[in-house]
Amino acid sequence: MTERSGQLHINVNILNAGVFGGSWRFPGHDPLGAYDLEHYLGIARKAEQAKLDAVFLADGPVVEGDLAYRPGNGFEPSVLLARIAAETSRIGLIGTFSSSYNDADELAARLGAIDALSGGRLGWNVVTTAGARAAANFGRDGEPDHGARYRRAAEVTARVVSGWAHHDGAPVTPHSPQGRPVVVQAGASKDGVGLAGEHAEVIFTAAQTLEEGLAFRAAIDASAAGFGRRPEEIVILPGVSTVIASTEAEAAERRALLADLVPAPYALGRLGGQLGIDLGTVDLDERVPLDLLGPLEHANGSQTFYKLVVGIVRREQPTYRELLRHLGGGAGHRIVVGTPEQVADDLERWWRSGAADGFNVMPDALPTGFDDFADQVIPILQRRGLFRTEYEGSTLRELLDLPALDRARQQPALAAAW
Amino acid sequence: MTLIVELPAAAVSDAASARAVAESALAAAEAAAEHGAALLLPEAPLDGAAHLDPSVLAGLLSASATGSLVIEADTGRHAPYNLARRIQSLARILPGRLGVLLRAGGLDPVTAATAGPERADADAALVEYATVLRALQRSFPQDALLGDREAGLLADSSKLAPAAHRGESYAVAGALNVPLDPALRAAVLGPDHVDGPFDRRIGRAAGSLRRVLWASDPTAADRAGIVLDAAQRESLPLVATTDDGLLVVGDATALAEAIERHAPDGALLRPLVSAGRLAVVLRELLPLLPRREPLRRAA
Repeated sequence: MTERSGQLHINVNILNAGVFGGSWRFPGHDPLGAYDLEHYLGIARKAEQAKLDAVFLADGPVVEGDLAYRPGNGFEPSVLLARIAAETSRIGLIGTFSSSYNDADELAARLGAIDALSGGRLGWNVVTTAGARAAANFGRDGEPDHGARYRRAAEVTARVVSGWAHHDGAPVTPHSPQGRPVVVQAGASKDGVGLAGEHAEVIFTAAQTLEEGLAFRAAIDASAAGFGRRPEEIVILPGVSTVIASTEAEAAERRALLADLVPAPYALGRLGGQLGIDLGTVDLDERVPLDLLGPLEHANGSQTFYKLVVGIVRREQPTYRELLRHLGGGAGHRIVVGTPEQVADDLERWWRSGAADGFNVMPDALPTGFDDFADQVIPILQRRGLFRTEYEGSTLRELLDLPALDRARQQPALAAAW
Repeated sequence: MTLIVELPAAAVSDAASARAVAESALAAAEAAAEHGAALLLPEAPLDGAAHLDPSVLAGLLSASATGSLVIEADTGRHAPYNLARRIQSLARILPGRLGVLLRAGGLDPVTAATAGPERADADAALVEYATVLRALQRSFPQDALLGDREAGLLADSSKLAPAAHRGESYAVAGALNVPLDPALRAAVLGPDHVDGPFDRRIGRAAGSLRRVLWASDPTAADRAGIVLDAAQRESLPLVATTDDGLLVVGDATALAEAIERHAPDGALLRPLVSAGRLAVVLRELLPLLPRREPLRRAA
């Protein structure tokens, strides 16, 4: 492996019951644990013991359409992060807040309060919120188009950052111990990369292969350079779903179990959505017709995924149930299955290649999937000198080795329309 | 009687002062809780200086506070769906120990961006806001969660009760994604001159929690900009009815007597002291008052 100095950055994404559609059914876990405060606090404490950079909370201002089959985000993240701040002292706190349906000044003040109260540990994951159902919770008849969502995201982000930097008039937020909270972003679309290049200090990606990861890094570096930023000002953290057991066979067995646990209607709904086909009424034990999928150019969503499904259907002529099991109910992020040593090897390889500065870890089933990661993978990375054994620095910005903010970078260009 | 004590505003310029406010709030919440009183975390004025969002402060305090908390929320700052999610999340964490005091401030910016012209009648908009909030509080009852591992059914979505509100100022479709047993929801408080779906009313009228402004001596009143004439200064304690409620200038005993006589159903007390002094003041005052009862919610 090539030489690379420094260490990995690792967050845990507390994705409610876990990353898979059936994680909540995992044996021995409380099926409603995702609605229990202690579930989140316990994982946060464990993550701090393991010296992780941050806990991460996803969010969206809408009740999930598939609630019948998997738990959603049961706590609003600014309230939950404030509580986690009280229960921890070092770990970073990253929450997702919509740029589409929050007011910039109110959000800057609210997040600035968590940042100050936690001693400078807050990060804001900027997302745009798609979908007519969320829009209808805020008086909108339909969702704004992709371009409009990203234009607003750029304006809101600039305004929030400006509020944190105390540029306009009276400060709405206390001075941040870390200069200002860390701006985090995901979204690999062209607009997303543009927004990330201008503002993001941490970027989540869904890269599936090293090549994709490296290409994404190059795109982000180019976008950032256009805004006068250097690559070392940006930490790229691909999402990775982990399935860990003490032997390779046991890990494969655990993965297969998690695939079996995905509720079939949920899996069919997702598959249909990804392929742009209504699969609501099919018989699970019927063979998938060879002509179910038309030519690639008719594909609605990811063409890569479309080709994958066509390949399986042609080769294996599976039933719907077999196809779903084969696809395994993942959330679109890379899945690493193996022993703690194998998982550590994989993470190290990605980091050394430059495709990742670390990872947003999405354990397969919570809390035990994260316990295994913290207790078994982290010590291996620590022995290899790839992960901290003690916290150094007290703010999230310091944990992420992000450069201190220079004055120039704190002067965002405000959109003229604001 | 119900007693809610307002945390005095304090400057928050950096992390140290933010933590000092949080520590004062926790000490005051505990002093209040010892006697069954609740602590109100006020919202700063919209054009005010740096402040700590009350829902964030409540989230932090929830780790240690044993009593009831009330957060103030200005309708001009928070879209109802966003506020409702935070209230419901806090109510899950502080079951039966949370209230929200709504303040009429017109439309929030997210709502205003697509709503029609702002209503001239701010109180009518407040009533509509409270109506939406109450509907959202009922929208995801805890018993919709099944957790049926064998059947692969996490929830019975037919038990969701979407707000489906379409009014003059607000259109809010959804159910919240935060489940809660309706019996544990946050109490919704509002001004008594407004006829709205409030659990408790606050102001001057009989049967409501009376607003009580308290200065322990004339100097404290001076600092708060309250003008007392020479006669008033010489005939302390002073108990006067004002546009806002009751003004009491005098010691803790005088205040306790005034509350018992003029606010038999309870009070929202605003002591003119520093946030850091509040816990000490409450430990002197509260033992003098009759037994408090916790926050009440309408059925």
